[in-house]
Amino acid sequence: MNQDIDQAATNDLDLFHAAKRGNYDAFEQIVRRYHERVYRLAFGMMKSQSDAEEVVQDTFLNAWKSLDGFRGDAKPATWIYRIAANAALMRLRGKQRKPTLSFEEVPNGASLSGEVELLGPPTAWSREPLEKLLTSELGQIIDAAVDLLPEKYRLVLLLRDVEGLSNEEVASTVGLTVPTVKSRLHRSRMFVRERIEEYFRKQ
Amino acid sequence: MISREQAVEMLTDYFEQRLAPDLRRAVETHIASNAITKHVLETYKKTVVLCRESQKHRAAPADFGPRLLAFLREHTRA
Repeated sequence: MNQDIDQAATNDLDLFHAAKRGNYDAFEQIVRRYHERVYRLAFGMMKSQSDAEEVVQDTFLNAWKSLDGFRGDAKPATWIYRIAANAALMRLRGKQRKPTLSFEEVPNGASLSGEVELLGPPTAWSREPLEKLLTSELGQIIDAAVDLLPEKYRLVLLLRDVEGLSNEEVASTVGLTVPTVKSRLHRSRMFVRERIEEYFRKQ
Repeated sequence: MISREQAVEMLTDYFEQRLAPDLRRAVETHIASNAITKHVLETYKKTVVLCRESQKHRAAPADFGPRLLAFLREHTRA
């Protein structure tokens, strides 16, 4: 182990700059720090362990090759997520796609009046505690709803709501404007919300 | 007075406290008098939490970290 790399104390930016200078211990430390987060995003996009693992491999391989281009003007995490997002979208392009919604089918909330007229009054799940709500069955409903979103909507939802990036960071990661990120995020959340609402109406 | 559709369209900004004060007041006035929008706001917030909680526990297999490092050593240190 290189003496310069104190595993716990070194901050991400120092690690990236050390790796950029060719320090392989620093690169491996980056991999250790980020691979779980990249795997979670990759699994959310790919929905298969083996595909997710390949995306993670692609991500760090591409990161190693691209370190020369890391200037430190984006957060290291955002830089890694950007490479991971591209790796996932590239892998998805090469695969037979599962059916997803078209962009037009992702709701923007404009159909709410219709929903209420069609389905009846709201259910009471807004008042239930989280621990009671989050059963494995509801987890599957949420998974299925997220899976149905068009890939670029799903990516925005995962980066924002699961990985915790800001709207600005998501925009920089996926190459969109902030208003577009907010619009896709809103429509994705509304779609998942409607699937959860539907689930509780059937209970 | 804003409509339900307008209020719903502003939920992301409302939720993230990014609305201008006059728009925020308009949304809050609407919510106070509209049970359906209030329900949508409450369930919208809960959806974000449920989504995060249901997805964030996905962990890579225990042996993946060492396998990944071995793969990368093989492909980056020729």
